[in-house]
Amino acid sequence: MSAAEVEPLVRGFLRDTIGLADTDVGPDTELVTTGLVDSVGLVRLAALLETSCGIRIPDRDIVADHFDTLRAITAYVQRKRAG
Amino acid sequence: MWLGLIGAIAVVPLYWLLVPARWRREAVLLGSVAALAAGDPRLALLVLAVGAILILLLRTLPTAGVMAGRALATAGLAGLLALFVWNKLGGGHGGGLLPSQGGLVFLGVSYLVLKASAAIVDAARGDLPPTPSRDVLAWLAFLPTYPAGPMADLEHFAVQQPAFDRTRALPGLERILIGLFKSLVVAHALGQWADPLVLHPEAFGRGALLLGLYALSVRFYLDFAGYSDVAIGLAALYGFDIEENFDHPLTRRNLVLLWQHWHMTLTRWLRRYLFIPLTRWLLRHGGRTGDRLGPIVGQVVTMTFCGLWHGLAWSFALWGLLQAVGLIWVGVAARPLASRLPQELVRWWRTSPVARACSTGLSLTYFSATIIFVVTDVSSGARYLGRVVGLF
Repeated sequence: MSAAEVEPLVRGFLRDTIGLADTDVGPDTELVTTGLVDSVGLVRLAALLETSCGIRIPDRDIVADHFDTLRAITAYVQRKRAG
Repeated sequence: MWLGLIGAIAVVPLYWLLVPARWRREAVLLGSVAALAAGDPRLALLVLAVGAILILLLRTLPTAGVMAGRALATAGLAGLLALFVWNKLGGGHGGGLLPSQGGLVFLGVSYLVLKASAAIVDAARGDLPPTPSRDVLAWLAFLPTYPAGPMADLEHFAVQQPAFDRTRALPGLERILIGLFKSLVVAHALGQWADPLVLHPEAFGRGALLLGLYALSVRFYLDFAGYSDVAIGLAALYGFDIEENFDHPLTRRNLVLLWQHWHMTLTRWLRRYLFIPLTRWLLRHGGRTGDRLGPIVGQVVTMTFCGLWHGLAWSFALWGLLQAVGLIWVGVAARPLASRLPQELVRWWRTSPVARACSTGLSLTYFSATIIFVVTDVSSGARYLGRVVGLF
Protein backbone atom coordinates (compact mmCIF):
# COMPACT_ATOMS: atom_id res chain seq x y z
CA MET A 1 0.00 0.00 0.00
CA SER A 2 1.45 3.36 -1.04
CA ALA A 3 1.37 6.64 0.87
CA ALA A 4 -1.38 7.79 -1.46
CA GLU A 5 -3.50 4.82 -0.33
CA VAL A 6 -2.83 5.19 3.39
CA GLU A 7 -4.33 8.67 3.63
CA PRO A 8 -7.79 7.76 2.26
CA LEU A 9 -7.80 4.71 4.55
CA VAL A 10 -7.14 6.87 7.61
CA ARG A 11 -9.58 9.53 6.46
CA GLY A 12 -12.24 6.84 6.12
CA PHE A 13 -11.51 5.68 9.67
CA LEU A 14 -11.67 9.23 11.02
CA ARG A 15 -14.97 9.81 9.22
CA ASP A 16 -16.71 6.52 10.01
CA THR A 17 -15.34 5.70 13.46
CA ILE A 18 -14.39 9.03 14.98
CA GLY A 19 -16.99 11.18 13.24
CA LEU A 20 -14.60 13.71 11.69
CA ALA A 21 -15.58 15.14 8.33
CA ASP A 22 -12.88 15.19 5.61
CA THR A 23 -13.01 18.98 5.63
CA ASP A 24 -12.10 19.01 9.35
CA VAL A 25 -8.86 17.09 8.88
CA GLY A 26 -5.83 18.48 7.07
CA PRO A 27 -2.46 16.74 6.71
CA ASP A 28 -1.18 18.44 9.88
CA THR A 29 -4.36 18.55 11.96
CA GLU A 30 -3.42 17.33 15.42
CA LEU A 31 -5.61 14.38 16.22
CA VAL A 32 -4.26 12.94 19.47
CA THR A 33 -2.87 15.98 21.25
CA THR A 34 -6.16 17.82 20.74
CA GLY A 35 -8.22 14.87 21.97
CA LEU A 36 -10.00 14.26 18.66
CA VAL A 37 -8.64 10.71 18.77
CA ASP A 38 -8.26 9.11 22.20
CA SER A 39 -6.56 5.89 23.29
CA VAL A 40 -9.51 3.80 22.17
CA GLY A 41 -9.40 5.43 18.73
CA LEU A 42 -5.64 4.87 18.54
CA VAL A 43 -5.99 1.18 19.32
CA ARG A 44 -8.71 0.81 16.67
CA LEU A 45 -6.65 2.76 14.12
CA ALA A 46 -3.61 0.57 14.83
CA ALA A 47 -5.73 -2.54 14.27
CA LEU A 48 -6.97 -1.16 10.95
CA LEU A 49 -3.46 -0.27 9.75
CA GLU A 50 -2.12 -3.70 10.73
CA THR A 51 -4.88 -5.45 8.81
CA SER A 52 -4.92 -3.20 5.76
CA CYS A 53 -1.23 -2.37 5.38
CA GLY A 54 0.28 -5.68 6.46
CA ILE A 55 2.46 -4.17 9.17
CA ARG A 56 3.01 -5.09 12.81
CA ILE A 57 2.65 -2.19 15.26
CA PRO A 58 4.21 -2.76 18.70
CA ASP A 59 2.26 -1.50 21.73
CA ARG A 60 4.90 1.09 22.55
CA ASP A 61 4.56 2.66 19.08
CA ILE A 62 0.91 3.55 19.71
CA VAL A 63 1.67 7.10 20.82
CA ALA A 64 1.01 10.63 19.63
CA ASP A 65 4.50 10.86 18.10
CA HIS A 66 3.46 8.39 15.39
CA PHE A 67 -0.28 9.01 15.14
CA ASP A 68 -0.91 12.69 15.77
CA THR A 69 -1.42 13.82 12.18
CA LEU A 70 -2.27 12.30 8.82
CA ARG A 71 1.24 13.13 7.67
CA ALA A 72 2.82 11.42 10.70
CA ILE A 73 0.62 8.32 10.31
CA THR A 74 1.48 8.00 6.63
CA ALA A 75 5.19 8.43 7.33
CA TYR A 76 5.05 5.84 10.13
CA VAL A 77 3.32 3.28 7.92
CA GLN A 78 5.86 3.86 5.17
CA ARG A 79 8.73 3.39 7.62
CA LYS A 80 7.26 0.16 8.94
CA ARG A 81 6.70 -1.15 5.44
CA ALA A 82 10.24 -0.29 4.48
CA GLY A 83 11.35 -2.38 7.47
CA MET B 1 11.95 15.14 53.54
CA TRP B 2 12.86 18.79 53.67
CA LEU B 3 16.14 18.11 55.44
CA GLY B 4 16.92 15.63 52.68
CA LEU B 5 16.08 18.22 50.04
CA ILE B 6 18.28 20.86 51.64
CA GLY B 7 21.09 18.30 51.94
CA ALA B 8 20.70 17.27 48.30
CA ILE B 9 20.96 20.91 47.18
CA ALA B 10 23.85 21.61 49.53
CA VAL B 11 26.07 18.87 48.08
CA VAL B 12 25.47 19.91 44.45
CA PRO B 13 28.68 22.05 44.30
CA LEU B 14 30.74 19.15 45.72
CA TYR B 15 29.19 16.80 43.17
CA TRP B 16 30.33 18.96 40.27
CA LEU B 17 33.70 19.94 41.75
CA LEU B 18 34.88 16.61 43.15
CA VAL B 19 33.22 13.80 41.19
CA PRO B 20 34.84 12.92 37.86
CA ALA B 21 32.42 12.71 34.95
CA ARG B 22 32.72 8.93 34.65
CA TRP B 23 31.76 8.40 38.30
CA ARG B 24 28.74 10.70 38.42
CA ARG B 25 26.21 7.92 38.03
CA GLU B 26 27.83 5.96 40.85
CA ALA B 27 27.83 9.12 42.97
CA VAL B 28 24.14 9.68 42.29
CA LEU B 29 23.44 6.05 43.15
CA LEU B 30 25.41 6.16 46.40
CA GLY B 31 23.88 9.47 47.43
CA SER B 32 20.37 8.25 46.67
CA VAL B 33 20.79 5.00 48.59
CA ALA B 34 22.37 6.84 51.54
CA ALA B 35 19.46 9.30 51.60
CA LEU B 36 16.93 6.45 51.48
CA ALA B 37 18.78 4.67 54.28
CA ALA B 38 18.66 7.84 56.34
CA GLY B 39 14.87 7.79 55.91
CA ASP B 40 14.61 4.09 56.77
CA PRO B 41 17.49 1.60 56.43
CA ARG B 42 15.07 -1.19 55.44
CA LEU B 43 14.09 0.84 52.43
CA ALA B 44 17.63 1.12 51.07
CA LEU B 45 17.98 -2.65 51.40
CA LEU B 46 14.64 -3.15 49.68
CA VAL B 47 15.57 -0.93 46.74
CA LEU B 48 18.94 -2.66 46.34
CA ALA B 49 17.31 -6.11 46.55
CA VAL B 50 14.69 -5.21 43.95
CA GLY B 51 17.46 -3.71 41.82
CA ALA B 52 19.61 -6.86 42.07
CA ILE B 53 16.71 -9.14 41.06
CA LEU B 54 15.77 -6.77 38.25
CA ILE B 55 19.32 -6.74 36.89
CA LEU B 56 19.33 -10.53 36.94
CA LEU B 57 16.03 -10.66 35.07
CA LEU B 58 17.10 -8.05 32.51
CA ARG B 59 20.19 -10.11 31.74
CA THR B 60 18.35 -13.43 31.59
CA LEU B 61 15.14 -12.53 29.75
CA PRO B 62 16.59 -11.61 26.33
CA THR B 63 18.29 -15.00 25.97
CA ALA B 64 15.67 -17.16 27.69
CA GLY B 65 13.35 -19.23 25.52
CA VAL B 66 9.73 -18.19 25.03
CA MET B 67 8.28 -20.33 27.81
CA ALA B 68 11.13 -19.76 30.23
CA GLY B 69 11.03 -16.03 29.49
CA ARG B 70 7.32 -15.86 30.18
CA ALA B 71 7.73 -17.84 33.39
CA LEU B 72 10.56 -15.59 34.59
CA ALA B 73 8.74 -12.38 33.68
CA THR B 74 5.54 -13.62 35.35
CA ALA B 75 7.46 -14.56 38.49
CA GLY B 76 9.12 -11.13 38.55
CA LEU B 77 5.83 -9.31 38.09
CA ALA B 78 4.14 -11.46 40.75
CA GLY B 79 6.92 -10.65 43.19
CA LEU B 80 6.51 -6.94 42.51
CA LEU B 81 2.75 -7.21 42.98
CA ALA B 82 3.30 -8.93 46.32
CA LEU B 83 5.70 -6.16 47.35
CA PHE B 84 3.16 -3.52 46.35
CA VAL B 85 0.33 -5.17 48.30
CA TRP B 86 2.58 -5.68 51.34
CA ASN B 87 3.55 -2.02 51.31
CA LYS B 88 0.02 -0.73 50.78
CA LEU B 89 -1.41 -2.98 53.48
CA GLY B 90 0.96 -1.51 56.01
CA GLY B 91 4.12 -3.58 55.83
CA GLY B 92 6.03 -0.44 54.98
CA HIS B 93 3.43 1.97 56.43
CA GLY B 94 2.14 2.46 52.88
CA GLY B 95 3.26 6.06 52.74
CA GLY B 96 1.00 9.12 52.53
CA LEU B 97 -1.32 9.77 49.64
CA LEU B 98 0.13 13.15 48.80
CA PRO B 99 3.83 14.00 48.64
CA SER B 100 3.31 16.75 51.23
CA GLN B 101 1.79 14.29 53.70
CA GLY B 102 5.12 12.63 54.39
CA GLY B 103 5.89 8.90 54.40
CA LEU B 104 7.59 9.59 51.09
CA VAL B 105 10.10 6.81 51.31
CA PHE B 106 7.31 4.23 51.34
CA LEU B 107 5.10 6.13 48.92
CA GLY B 108 8.05 5.58 46.58
CA VAL B 109 7.65 1.79 46.73
CA SER B 110 4.50 2.12 44.58
CA TYR B 111 6.55 3.94 41.93
CA LEU B 112 9.42 1.49 42.29
CA VAL B 113 7.04 -1.39 41.52
CA LEU B 114 5.72 0.28 38.36
CA LYS B 115 9.19 1.20 37.10
CA ALA B 116 10.61 -2.27 37.69
CA SER B 117 7.60 -4.00 36.13
CA ALA B 118 7.89 -1.79 33.04
CA ALA B 119 11.54 -2.79 32.65
CA ILE B 120 10.67 -6.49 33.01
CA VAL B 121 7.92 -6.28 30.38
CA ASP B 122 10.16 -4.34 27.98
CA ALA B 123 12.97 -6.86 28.44
CA ALA B 124 10.58 -9.78 27.91
CA ARG B 125 9.33 -8.17 24.70
CA GLY B 126 12.89 -7.55 23.53
CA ASP B 127 12.31 -3.78 23.55
CA LEU B 128 15.00 -2.89 26.08
CA PRO B 129 18.60 -2.49 24.93
CA PRO B 130 21.31 -3.93 27.22
CA THR B 131 21.72 -1.52 30.14
CA PRO B 132 24.66 -1.43 32.58
CA SER B 133 23.79 -2.57 36.11
CA ARG B 134 24.80 0.73 37.69
CA ASP B 135 22.38 2.57 35.37
CA VAL B 136 19.54 0.25 36.38
CA LEU B 137 20.26 0.78 40.07
CA ALA B 138 20.75 4.55 39.71
CA TRP B 139 17.49 4.77 37.77
CA LEU B 140 15.54 2.82 40.40
CA ALA B 141 16.92 4.72 43.38
CA PHE B 142 17.37 8.18 41.79
CA LEU B 143 16.43 10.32 44.77
CA PRO B 144 14.66 13.24 43.04
CA THR B 145 12.15 10.99 41.30
CA TYR B 146 12.11 8.02 43.69
CA PRO B 147 9.35 9.18 46.08
CA ALA B 148 6.60 10.37 43.73
CA GLY B 149 7.83 10.49 40.13
CA PRO B 150 8.02 11.61 37.41
CA MET B 151 8.68 8.01 36.33
CA ALA B 152 11.46 8.38 33.81
CA ASP B 153 11.92 5.61 31.26
CA LEU B 154 14.99 3.47 31.92
CA GLU B 155 16.14 4.06 28.32
CA HIS B 156 15.67 7.82 28.68
CA PHE B 157 17.59 7.87 31.96
CA ALA B 158 20.39 5.52 30.93
CA VAL B 159 21.49 7.42 27.84
CA GLN B 160 22.03 10.70 29.68
CA GLN B 161 25.53 11.92 30.39
CA PRO B 162 25.25 14.41 33.26
CA ALA B 163 27.40 17.44 32.48
CA PHE B 164 27.46 20.77 34.27
CA ASP B 165 25.42 23.40 32.51
CA ARG B 166 25.12 26.69 34.36
CA THR B 167 22.10 27.68 32.25
CA ARG B 168 20.21 24.81 33.87
CA ALA B 169 21.28 25.44 37.46
CA LEU B 170 19.32 28.61 38.17
CA PRO B 171 16.16 27.45 36.39
CA GLY B 172 16.51 24.21 38.39
CA LEU B 173 16.62 26.10 41.67
CA GLU B 174 13.75 28.30 40.54
CA ARG B 175 11.72 25.20 39.66
CA ILE B 176 12.33 23.79 43.14
CA LEU B 177 11.14 27.01 44.79
CA ILE B 178 8.05 27.18 42.58
CA GLY B 179 7.28 23.55 43.39
CA LEU B 180 7.66 24.11 47.11
CA PHE B 181 5.37 27.14 46.93
CA LYS B 182 2.73 25.16 45.04
CA SER B 183 2.90 22.18 47.36
CA LEU B 184 3.65 23.62 50.78
CA VAL B 185 1.89 26.97 50.57
CA VAL B 186 -1.04 26.91 48.13
CA ALA B 187 -1.95 23.20 48.25
CA HIS B 188 -1.51 23.17 52.01
CA ALA B 189 -3.77 26.22 52.43
CA LEU B 190 -6.43 24.67 50.20
CA GLY B 191 -6.22 21.48 52.25
CA GLN B 192 -6.58 23.41 55.50
CA TRP B 193 -9.68 25.08 54.12
CA ALA B 194 -11.26 21.97 52.59
CA ASP B 195 -10.52 19.38 55.29
CA PRO B 196 -13.27 20.57 57.69
CA LEU B 197 -15.77 20.40 54.82
CA VAL B 198 -14.91 16.75 54.24
CA LEU B 199 -14.97 15.90 57.94
CA HIS B 200 -18.25 17.71 58.74
CA PRO B 201 -20.22 18.31 55.55
CA GLU B 202 -23.43 18.64 57.57
CA ALA B 203 -22.11 21.89 59.03
CA PHE B 204 -21.79 23.64 55.66
CA GLY B 205 -24.04 24.83 52.87
CA ARG B 206 -24.19 23.44 49.34
CA GLY B 207 -22.15 26.28 47.84
CA ALA B 208 -19.27 25.80 50.25
CA LEU B 209 -19.34 22.03 49.72
CA LEU B 210 -19.24 22.48 45.95
CA LEU B 211 -16.34 24.91 46.25
CA GLY B 212 -14.67 22.38 48.52
CA LEU B 213 -14.66 19.81 45.71
CA TYR B 214 -12.93 22.22 43.35
CA ALA B 215 -10.48 23.12 46.11
CA LEU B 216 -9.65 19.45 46.61
CA SER B 217 -8.90 18.83 42.95
CA VAL B 218 -6.74 21.96 42.74
CA ARG B 219 -5.01 20.89 45.95
CA PHE B 220 -4.20 17.45 44.56
CA TYR B 221 -2.99 18.95 41.32
CA LEU B 222 -0.72 21.50 43.03
CA ASP B 223 0.61 18.98 45.53
CA PHE B 224 1.64 16.43 42.91
CA ALA B 225 2.66 18.97 40.29
CA GLY B 226 4.63 20.89 42.93
CA TYR B 227 6.47 17.74 43.92
CA SER B 228 7.19 17.05 40.24
CA ASP B 229 8.62 20.57 39.93
CA VAL B 230 10.93 19.87 42.88
CA ALA B 231 12.00 16.54 41.38
CA ILE B 232 12.64 17.99 37.90
CA GLY B 233 14.52 20.97 39.35
CA LEU B 234 16.65 18.82 41.65
CA ALA B 235 17.43 16.40 38.83
CA ALA B 236 18.49 19.36 36.67
CA LEU B 237 20.93 20.45 39.40
CA TYR B 238 22.55 17.01 39.08
CA GLY B 239 22.61 17.24 35.28
CA PHE B 240 19.68 14.96 34.51
CA ASP B 241 16.80 15.82 32.24
CA ILE B 242 13.54 14.40 33.61
CA GLU B 243 10.28 14.33 31.70
CA GLU B 244 7.43 16.69 32.55
CA ASN B 245 4.59 15.20 34.54
CA PHE B 246 1.73 17.75 34.52
CA ASP B 247 0.64 20.15 31.80
CA HIS B 248 -2.31 22.24 33.04
CA PRO B 249 -4.64 19.23 33.24
CA LEU B 250 -7.49 21.03 34.99
CA THR B 251 -7.92 23.48 32.11
CA ARG B 252 -8.46 20.75 29.51
CA ARG B 253 -11.75 20.52 27.73
CA ASN B 254 -12.64 16.91 28.37
CA LEU B 255 -11.67 14.06 30.66
CA VAL B 256 -9.57 12.34 27.98
CA LEU B 257 -7.40 15.44 27.62
CA LEU B 258 -7.36 16.00 31.37
CA TRP B 259 -5.93 12.52 31.86
CA GLN B 260 -3.49 12.97 28.97
CA HIS B 261 -1.98 15.89 30.89
CA TRP B 262 -2.33 14.66 34.51
CA HIS B 263 0.58 12.69 35.98
CA MET B 264 1.72 12.01 32.42
CA THR B 265 4.44 9.47 33.21
CA LEU B 266 1.94 7.41 35.22
CA THR B 267 -0.74 7.61 32.52
CA ARG B 268 1.88 6.62 29.93
CA TRP B 269 2.64 3.54 32.02
CA LEU B 270 -1.07 2.72 32.29
CA ARG B 271 -1.58 3.11 28.54
CA ARG B 272 1.57 1.27 27.48
CA TYR B 273 1.53 -1.66 29.85
CA LEU B 274 -2.15 -2.17 30.63
CA PHE B 275 -4.74 -0.42 28.49
CA ILE B 276 -3.22 -0.90 25.02
CA PRO B 277 -2.12 -4.56 25.38
CA LEU B 278 -5.38 -5.55 27.09
CA THR B 279 -7.65 -3.72 24.65
CA ARG B 280 -5.74 -4.99 21.61
CA TRP B 281 -5.96 -8.54 22.92
CA LEU B 282 -9.71 -8.19 23.47
CA LEU B 283 -10.21 -6.72 19.99
CA ARG B 284 -8.18 -9.51 18.38
CA HIS B 285 -9.59 -12.45 20.29
CA GLY B 286 -12.99 -11.35 21.54
CA GLY B 287 -14.97 -11.62 18.32
CA ARG B 288 -17.91 -9.25 17.94
CA THR B 289 -18.37 -8.94 21.69
CA GLY B 290 -14.70 -8.09 22.10
CA ASP B 291 -14.95 -5.50 19.36
CA ARG B 292 -17.86 -3.79 21.09
CA LEU B 293 -16.83 -4.24 24.71
CA GLY B 294 -13.04 -4.43 24.45
CA PRO B 295 -12.39 -0.68 24.80
CA ILE B 296 -14.90 -0.46 27.65
CA VAL B 297 -13.35 -3.37 29.53
CA GLY B 298 -9.90 -1.92 28.83
CA GLN B 299 -10.85 1.45 30.36
CA VAL B 300 -12.59 -0.10 33.37
CA VAL B 301 -9.68 -2.43 34.19
CA THR B 302 -7.05 0.25 33.61
CA MET B 303 -8.65 3.01 35.64
CA THR B 304 -9.77 0.70 38.45
CA PHE B 305 -6.16 -0.47 38.64
CA CYS B 306 -5.11 3.19 38.70
CA GLY B 307 -7.43 3.75 41.66
CA LEU B 308 -6.19 0.70 43.55
CA TRP B 309 -2.58 1.66 42.84
CA HIS B 310 -3.25 4.87 44.77
CA GLY B 311 -4.79 2.99 47.69
CA LEU B 312 -6.14 -0.50 48.40
CA ALA B 313 -9.66 0.50 49.43
CA TRP B 314 -13.17 0.43 47.94
CA SER B 315 -13.21 4.22 47.71
CA PHE B 316 -10.12 4.24 45.47
CA ALA B 317 -11.59 1.48 43.29
CA LEU B 318 -14.79 3.53 42.95
CA TRP B 319 -12.78 6.65 42.10
CA GLY B 320 -10.95 4.73 39.36
CA LEU B 321 -14.19 3.25 38.08
CA LEU B 322 -15.73 6.73 37.87
CA GLN B 323 -12.73 7.92 35.83
CA ALA B 324 -13.35 5.00 33.47
CA VAL B 325 -17.03 5.95 33.18
CA GLY B 326 -16.06 9.51 32.24
CA LEU B 327 -13.44 8.35 29.73
CA ILE B 328 -15.87 5.87 28.17
CA TRP B 329 -18.45 8.63 27.85
CA VAL B 330 -16.01 10.91 26.02
CA GLY B 331 -14.25 8.26 23.94
CA VAL B 332 -16.94 5.67 23.24
CA ALA B 333 -20.47 6.82 24.03
CA ALA B 334 -20.46 10.47 22.97
CA ARG B 335 -19.25 9.77 19.41
CA PRO B 336 -22.36 7.92 18.17
CA LEU B 337 -24.43 10.64 19.82
CA ALA B 338 -22.46 13.34 17.99
CA SER B 339 -22.94 11.56 14.68
CA ARG B 340 -26.73 11.99 15.07
CA LEU B 341 -26.51 15.72 15.74
CA PRO B 342 -26.32 18.40 13.01
CA GLN B 343 -22.71 18.73 11.85
CA GLU B 344 -22.83 22.51 12.37
CA LEU B 345 -23.62 21.96 16.05
CA VAL B 346 -20.82 19.39 16.45
CA ARG B 347 -18.35 21.71 14.73
CA TRP B 348 -19.46 24.60 16.96
CA TRP B 349 -18.94 22.40 20.05
CA ARG B 350 -15.43 21.56 18.91
CA THR B 351 -14.32 25.06 17.92
CA SER B 352 -16.26 27.70 19.89
CA PRO B 353 -14.52 29.30 22.91
CA VAL B 354 -17.87 29.35 24.73
CA ALA B 355 -18.37 25.64 24.13
CA ARG B 356 -14.79 25.06 25.21
CA ALA B 357 -15.40 26.92 28.47
CA CYS B 358 -18.58 24.91 29.12
CA SER B 359 -16.85 21.64 28.29
CA THR B 360 -13.86 22.48 30.50
CA GLY B 361 -16.17 23.40 33.37
CA LEU B 362 -18.11 20.17 33.04
CA SER B 363 -14.92 18.08 32.98
CA LEU B 364 -13.46 19.89 35.97
CA THR B 365 -16.71 19.48 37.89
CA TYR B 366 -16.88 15.75 37.16
CA PHE B 367 -13.23 15.22 38.08
CA SER B 368 -13.61 17.30 41.24
CA ALA B 369 -16.77 15.47 42.29
CA THR B 370 -15.06 12.10 42.00
CA ILE B 371 -12.03 13.19 44.00
CA ILE B 372 -14.09 13.10 47.18
CA PHE B 373 -13.60 9.31 47.10
CA VAL B 374 -9.86 9.79 47.29
CA VAL B 375 -10.07 11.69 50.55
CA THR B 376 -12.80 9.76 52.33
CA ASP B 377 -14.62 6.43 52.31
CA VAL B 378 -17.47 5.49 49.97
CA SER B 379 -20.39 6.23 52.30
CA SER B 380 -18.95 9.54 53.53
CA GLY B 381 -18.15 10.56 49.96
CA ALA B 382 -21.65 9.66 48.81
CA ARG B 383 -23.12 11.64 51.72
CA TYR B 384 -20.97 14.65 50.80
CA LEU B 385 -22.04 14.54 47.14
CA GLY B 386 -25.63 13.98 48.23
CA ARG B 387 -25.52 17.19 50.24
CA VAL B 388 -24.03 19.07 47.28
CA VAL B 389 -26.99 18.14 45.10
CA GLY B 390 -29.49 18.63 47.91
CA LEU B 391 -30.39 15.01 48.63
CA PHE B 392 -29.47 15.04 52.33
